[in-house]
Amino acid sequence: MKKPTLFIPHAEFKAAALVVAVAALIVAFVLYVLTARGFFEDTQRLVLVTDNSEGIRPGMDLGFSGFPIGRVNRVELSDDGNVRILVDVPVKDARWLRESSVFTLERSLVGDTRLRAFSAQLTDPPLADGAERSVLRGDAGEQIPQVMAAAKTLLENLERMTAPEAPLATALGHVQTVTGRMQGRYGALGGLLGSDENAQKLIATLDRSNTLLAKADARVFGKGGVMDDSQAAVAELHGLLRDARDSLKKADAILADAQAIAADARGATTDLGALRSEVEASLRKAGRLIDEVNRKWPFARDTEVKLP
Amino acid sequence: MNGNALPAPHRDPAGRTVGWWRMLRIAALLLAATLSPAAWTQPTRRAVATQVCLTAMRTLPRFALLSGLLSLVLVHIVVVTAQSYGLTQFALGTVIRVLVVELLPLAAALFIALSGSLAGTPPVDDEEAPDGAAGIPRALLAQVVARAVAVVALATLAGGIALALAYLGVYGFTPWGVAGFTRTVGQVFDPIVLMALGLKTGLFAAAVATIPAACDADGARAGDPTLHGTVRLFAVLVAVEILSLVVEFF
Repeated sequence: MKKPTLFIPHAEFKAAALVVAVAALIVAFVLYVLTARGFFEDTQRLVLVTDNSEGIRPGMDLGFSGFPIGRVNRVELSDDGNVRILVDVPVKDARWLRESSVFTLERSLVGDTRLRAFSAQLTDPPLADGAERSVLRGDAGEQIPQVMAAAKTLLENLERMTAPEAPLATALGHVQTVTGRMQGRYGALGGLLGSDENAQKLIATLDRSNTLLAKADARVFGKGGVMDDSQAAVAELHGLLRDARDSLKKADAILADAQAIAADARGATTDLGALRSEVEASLRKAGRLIDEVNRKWPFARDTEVKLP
Repeated sequence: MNGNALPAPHRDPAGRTVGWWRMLRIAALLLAATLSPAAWTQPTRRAVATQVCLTAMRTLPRFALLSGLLSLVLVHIVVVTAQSYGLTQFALGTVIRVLVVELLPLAAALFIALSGSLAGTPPVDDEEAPDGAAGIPRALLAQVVARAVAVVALATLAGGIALALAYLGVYGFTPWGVAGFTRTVGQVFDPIVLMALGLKTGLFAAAVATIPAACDADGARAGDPTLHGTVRLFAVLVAVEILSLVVEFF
């Protein structure tokens, strides 16, 4: 028996339309991907040099202020062992890169490695095509060994501190003993002094001290006590000081007189100096007069020099 | 005849190998006949067009709805999880990679395989005689072409829907995310991934189109033909998926 035949009007056209639509979708998607990968864009090359390519892969972005402005095209080793990261920067985005731009490679503990560009001076000349720049690296992962070493040391110290024979455990045991004693009849005093007996002795001593202080108070501050005598002595001392002050005033006057006498003596000394000067002047005049008389007197020596 | 009464060639390893070889040979013959210009006579073209329309009408709306729901759920899960871990910058790439590259082509192939095995081959032509191209019946040829076209069409349509839903799930109804979205698409679909996706979809289509038909045409095989062909088809699909993953990630 024959199966019934299905008839679809314009089946060939519909099938062709479906195939064409699917093909168009595929071609459009491929073109979209090519556009997304920058296949139709004019780019310029930027070469970044670093010493470690870990985390860098072709296709990753070069960011500027959070916006992707370039894409890593290839990563290769140079002859000197450094890593060369070849970045394609679209020409329309290349204006953000200047001669003074700085490039960083940041690798965090979680997430992707990031290439970033920083241009502080946008007035500087633009970066040339094929320019080669060094990359500054910041790697959180490199600090993990130091952190682990520090954590290990910390844990070892903690283990030593919490060991049964550790000083901390011993100290805590002592604290427990002291606090246990503090729960006795004499409270903290018993804990501090070691036993209730010692605390009792201290309290008895305090009682006796109080009694003694009461007696001392009566002897010192009571009527006819030491303080009264002291006050009388102080009053007497005050009188003595007043007498001494009067005496000192008199001595001061005497000293003033002596000072005046000394001033007179200094004046007299000044006059003697002047008198001496005058005498010396008179003597010099008399000397010159005698010399003059000697030159003019017949007894004067002949001082001429006669030639032979 | 039940499964315990299978002939010897299908119980021992050598018999299985022979069965696989025969199936692959018939599948290759089907592919060759499909690609042969001599097979595309006017009645064949009409039969193929009818079969393509039937398969597309039967599968496209349902699969579009199903893949849309699946994409919506997965996009939401990935985006919310990424937000909770502060990794939103990876959400879009993950969604595209998981859905468009990995899941949806496989889902399209499985959908066509299952719908074909459950519904059977619809009658499209009265003529049961061989078409003249390697002795392949016209209905079988139409079924092969229609299944292959359906797999590619479903994978393409589902990929487009998934991309649109991923954009909406990450950016919402705003045009300002197009630049970032385009950049992420460019990062995900590097040449190797693009090539792997194309090859994978093509191999899926070829497998879904030819293997059930090859198993049906294998007259020497015993047991449940539909189940046997479906199991072999799933094995081939898994092998293609594994091969694709190896190409993409190694």
